[in-house]
Amino acid sequence: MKYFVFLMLAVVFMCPAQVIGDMSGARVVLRPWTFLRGDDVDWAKPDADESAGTAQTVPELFDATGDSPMAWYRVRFDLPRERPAGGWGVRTGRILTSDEVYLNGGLIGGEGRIGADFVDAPQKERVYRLPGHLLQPEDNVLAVRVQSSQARGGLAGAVVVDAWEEISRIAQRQMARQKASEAFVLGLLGMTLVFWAMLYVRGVPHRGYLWIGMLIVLFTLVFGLESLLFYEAKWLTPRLQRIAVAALAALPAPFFMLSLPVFDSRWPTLVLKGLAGLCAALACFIAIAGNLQWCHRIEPLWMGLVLAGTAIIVPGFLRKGWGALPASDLCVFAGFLWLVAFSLVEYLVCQWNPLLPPFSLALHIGFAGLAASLAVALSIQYRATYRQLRHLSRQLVGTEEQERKRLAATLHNEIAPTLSAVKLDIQLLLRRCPREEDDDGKRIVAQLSDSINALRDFSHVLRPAEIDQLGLTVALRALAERTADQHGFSLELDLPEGEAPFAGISPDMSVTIYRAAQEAFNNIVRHASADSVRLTLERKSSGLRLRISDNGRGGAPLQANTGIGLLTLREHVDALAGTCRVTTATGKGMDIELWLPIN
Amino acid sequence: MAPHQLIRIILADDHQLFLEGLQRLFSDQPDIQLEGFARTGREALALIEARKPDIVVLDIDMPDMDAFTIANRLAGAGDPPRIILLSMHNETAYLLAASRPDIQGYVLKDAAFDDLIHAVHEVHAGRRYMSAGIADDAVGSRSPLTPREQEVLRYAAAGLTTRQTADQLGLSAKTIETHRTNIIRKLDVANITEAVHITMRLR
Repeated sequence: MKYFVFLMLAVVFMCPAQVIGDMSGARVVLRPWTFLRGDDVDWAKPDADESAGTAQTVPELFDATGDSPMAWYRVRFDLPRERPAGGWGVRTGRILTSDEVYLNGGLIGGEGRIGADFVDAPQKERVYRLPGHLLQPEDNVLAVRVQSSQARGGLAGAVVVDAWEEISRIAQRQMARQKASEAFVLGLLGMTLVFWAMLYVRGVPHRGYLWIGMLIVLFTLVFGLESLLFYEAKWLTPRLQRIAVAALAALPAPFFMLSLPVFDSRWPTLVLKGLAGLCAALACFIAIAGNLQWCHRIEPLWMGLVLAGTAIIVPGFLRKGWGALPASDLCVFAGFLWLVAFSLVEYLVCQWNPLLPPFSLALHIGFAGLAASLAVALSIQYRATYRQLRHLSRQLVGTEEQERKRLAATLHNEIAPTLSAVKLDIQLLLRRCPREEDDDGKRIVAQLSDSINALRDFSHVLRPAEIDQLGLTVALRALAERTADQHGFSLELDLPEGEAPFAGISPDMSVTIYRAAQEAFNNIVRHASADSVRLTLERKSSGLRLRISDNGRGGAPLQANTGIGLLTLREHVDALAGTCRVTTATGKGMDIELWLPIN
Repeated sequence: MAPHQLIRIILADDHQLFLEGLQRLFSDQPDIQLEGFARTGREALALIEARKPDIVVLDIDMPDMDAFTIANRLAGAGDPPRIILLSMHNETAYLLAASRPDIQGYVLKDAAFDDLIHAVHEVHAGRRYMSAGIADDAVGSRSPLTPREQEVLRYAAAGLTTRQTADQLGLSAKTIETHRTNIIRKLDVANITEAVHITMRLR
């Protein structure tokens, strides 16, 4: 939650405060505007026939749903005597939606593309340089050709002709802020995407992951295209643009699907699925068949779908309570509501006054909120999955250990004593009736002894009984001292006194510690040729730490050998959420550290 | 120990077959009198209370109560019998756990025929006895080693360190070290581990 608030604040501070055309400081006074509905390339010329035009104030929008989505704005101005060092420029403000700007009949710039291969332009402030060779001291004609993909079109901001330095300074400042906020959201999204991909590739199975993943991909597509292509690339094709808009239109579908578990009854589920289907269909239509002008016309329909879905989900959710969805779904849900709320604000502001710049601050906050919620959801799900896996493997290891214990007990307490009894009986028999075939008897006794020893060793490998019966300290001390004595290295033991420190420790943990020590000693005996070994076992409040270090050759990898085997040992350590660290270098000995947390 | 004096013992083992074997083992010992046998720890305690034996031979793993608990209980009462533990475990940890003043003997079940009668006599005579498991047959009578050295070697084979052996035998660590040096010299080996291996192979 802390991070979420932090992210929101960061976005708010980085987002640009968009200012409607600022007239102060304008050095060039423009004469009244002439507005010409329709399209005629001759209207670019200085001496064009303006008889079809009407007087117009700027900013002002026209209704673009009629015969033609196109119109021309023309204005005349005189230049002051002194020419600024950087020359002259024009700031046309926002234009809905694509434009071409002509000075005295010559094209000086434009955003988007006009005509048959129409491309929407971003809703940003336009600035154009006025080339010196086209300018004349008096009676310049500035003509703006506009085509709109929306219900309305035209010049949405004040037009200012001023020194280029002044104009570009303002434009750069605005652009930098805009880009910073977009890069921020995009970076956040990229991180979420990478995170998701990593989890998915690692094979963490969860249905919710698919929906979340789809959301992220869609979201990246929309935002990435918008930010990277709309503003920068001149090669943006109408098709690419349609795909971006289609992705945006499809965004609610995964959200609706994600919310399905809230409902027990049939109807809301069906309706939500239907709405999701409609969103998907709308997206397909825009991507494949749609005219881009359609995109903006169906915006109210799309907004209606989103609101309808939200209106179904929220009450159902409130009725079921907080526990209805898993925490990760809840997170995405909250992120989506956040986005819906801010989208609504943006939509309403635009409807209320189209001359206001699109309230992209609101959308940025909405998107950043959703991206953050996706990241949080993923980490929640990852943790849950991880915990579940560990629980399972712990159960598995527990069952295995129980089975080993039972088997060892049977071998040790039933079969070995029976064999011992048989051995005793045979020995008694042989003593009572000494015969020539005594050698046979001795052979049988020897074979029995071998079997008993084999059983005993096997049972000890299965489960070292002394840990359960005598305690970890005694068992470890015996193991260490015997190995040290038999292989002639000096031993430094640092064990807690008595068994009291291990009162709350599960048998699984004791056995794992013992086996780790066994493996370590096996390794030392086989590879290390050490003459000094140090074993430390500490009981901390949060867990057990076993450390075994030697001064031997080092460098030799730990190998699976007698005993339980290193692989199984690692499984057991994992199941107990522990860690095992081996530090070694040639000539520097080996240092094995095992940490097992308590609960 | 007067020769005519009977050694009165009680056997406790939950394993029926083995208990019967033990009974047969002791039945032809003229100087040992079997006072009774028990199949659980509780039975053993009751029997010891009733009969007051000289020695009690206790299985280490009885289901209701292990031998150490029984030994603790007996130590609490006055004039406890001497205790010989019977066990399948040849782990050093058990030998260490049995190194306490109120437990005088430790005999492996599969070495009962060879060791138990001897252990009873030794313990009754006031000494400690430990059947050294893997080394019980290793140190034969033709060995060049003295009986004390054989004993030290047996302890070494069971995995006891110099100090532990010293504690077990009531000698100083230095003495045990001397014994070990002699063993290594006599058997012409590099260290005590090799000595144990060689004597095992001789078997």
